[in-house]
Amino acid sequence: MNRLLLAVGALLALVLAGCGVRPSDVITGGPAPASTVEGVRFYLLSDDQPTVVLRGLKPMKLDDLLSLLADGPTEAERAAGLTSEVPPGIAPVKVGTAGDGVLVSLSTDVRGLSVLAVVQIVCTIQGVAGAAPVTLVNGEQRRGPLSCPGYR
Amino acid sequence: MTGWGLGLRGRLLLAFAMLGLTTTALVAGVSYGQARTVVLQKAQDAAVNSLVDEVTRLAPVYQLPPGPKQLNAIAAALAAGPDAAAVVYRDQFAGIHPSEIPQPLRADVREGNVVWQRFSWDGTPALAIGTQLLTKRPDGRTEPTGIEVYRLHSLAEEQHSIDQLAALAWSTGAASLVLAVLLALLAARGVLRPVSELGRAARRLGEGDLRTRATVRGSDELAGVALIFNQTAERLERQVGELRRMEADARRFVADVSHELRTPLAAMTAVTDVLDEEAERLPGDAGKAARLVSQETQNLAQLVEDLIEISRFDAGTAALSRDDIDVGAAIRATLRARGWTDRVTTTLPDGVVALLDPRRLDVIVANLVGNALRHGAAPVTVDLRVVGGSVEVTVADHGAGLAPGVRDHVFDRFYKADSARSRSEGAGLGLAIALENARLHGGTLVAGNRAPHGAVFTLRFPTGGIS
Repeated sequence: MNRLLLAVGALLALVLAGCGVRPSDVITGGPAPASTVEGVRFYLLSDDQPTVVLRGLKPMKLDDLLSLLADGPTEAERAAGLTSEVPPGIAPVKVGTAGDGVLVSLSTDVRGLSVLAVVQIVCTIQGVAGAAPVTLVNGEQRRGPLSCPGYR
Repeated sequence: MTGWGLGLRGRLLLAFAMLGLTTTALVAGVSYGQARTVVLQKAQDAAVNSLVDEVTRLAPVYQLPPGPKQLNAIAAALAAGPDAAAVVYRDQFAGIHPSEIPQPLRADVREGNVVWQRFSWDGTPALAIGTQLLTKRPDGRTEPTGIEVYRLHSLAEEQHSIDQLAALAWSTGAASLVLAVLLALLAARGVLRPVSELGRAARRLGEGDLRTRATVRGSDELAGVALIFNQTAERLERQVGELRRMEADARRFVADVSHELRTPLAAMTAVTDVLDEEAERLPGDAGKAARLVSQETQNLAQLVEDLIEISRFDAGTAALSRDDIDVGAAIRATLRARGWTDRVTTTLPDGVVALLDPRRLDVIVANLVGNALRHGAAPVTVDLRVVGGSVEVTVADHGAGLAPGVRDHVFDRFYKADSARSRSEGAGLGLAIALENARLHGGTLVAGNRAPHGAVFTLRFPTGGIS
């Protein structure tokens, strides 16, 4: 008889405790919505991760794009904590095609570029030119073909 | 009975109430939970879909890192109606302060999915929805822009409808409890009425009303019990009736025989009177035989008188002819008439008056004193006292007293403590008659022993007698 009372009490307590709208854990739904963007994409670094930035510029040639990348972050971008490892010495740059890939001629030693700098360059080019693999050359030196690392 | 001391009714009530409560709690609780889940799910899905929809229709982002202008534009576009919105890019934000958004949600937003969480927003339940803005790359893949948007949607309306559901569940529970108790009372009445009727019938039967019968209703187990009870009562009544009839027959037979013996005995007594006179002159054995016949005839006549007296008691025809008498004087007269005055020590105060039948008092006292003189040892004492509202006459001797086995049967008819006793000492009806006489007066006669030894017979009458 006592056990029965206990069970009824527990049930009642459960009912009382479950009343109303309770806080929940984080519920994960579908993928985040993607929207279109305007402007020119560059890839800078945020905590050593390539991060996209947009500049409200008119579309331009890839050569000029890489030159702008070599100029480093703008004031606002630096203020937001973004950095670049692309040395200014890569300019002038010539971008051509080689088979189904993109051939980028830099004015600096491509082997001396840091991994992050290469990622910035490759991602910036692919952000405009699409999925074609990118090869960096300087005279006889070449790196690639390379692709921008994917994001989740 | 359980340890709680509940009756059948209480246990039935408790069981019904428990059953009603448990069932209602389960049904109402489960349906309440389901309804709540559905309500919340619907509200959440609508809010999430609305946010996703609005985010996809946002004006394109043209600058990253975004300027305050762009962040404010996004926040303004998303803060629709009563819902607050927040837009966060690294250290910048627009709309409400990011600290108002639950921290676990902020951590999970960076995983790239739409996430939401219910939380308490200033005491009211609210839904926080968060997502990142993604951008499509030319190769078809998406990448995060780093802009996070949040919207806080109040769930007060849902809370209200859920509270109404709860109120409904509670009132349903209360109603079902009341119903259960009513049903239990009804069921208890149906079950307990026959039980208590049966109990009453059994009690009446136990008190001696053999004509008691229980009412048999329907054909359930209780009806079966009532039927068996009735059969038992019927058999008992029949057998007791048989016994009573047999006993009455036996008594009537004794009474008839006694009456038939009376007339010839009267004639014989007359003859023995003559024989007694002649016995003196009869020689040797003839004289002895004449005296023996005379003695036995007197005993027989006494026995027949005793039997007739007993028969009157049994038939209920013994009549009292009462008078206000001085009890001490009456006892003295009894002793004197039998010539026992010298052999008995008396304490008989004068002036003890009671309403008694003097003849029956004489019979009782003569019997008790006669027995004491015959079976006990001197000195025999007769004491008269007034105790409370009654007169107490004590007859005691200093003999061996009554053996325990004898004491219980001393008032039985034809009972003789010593079976080897000579026949001339009486048939064993004396004490039975004394007891009946005492009872006829509304009094008592008790046999006992006293210290250090000796039998005591205590006779007690109410002073006023019974009117």
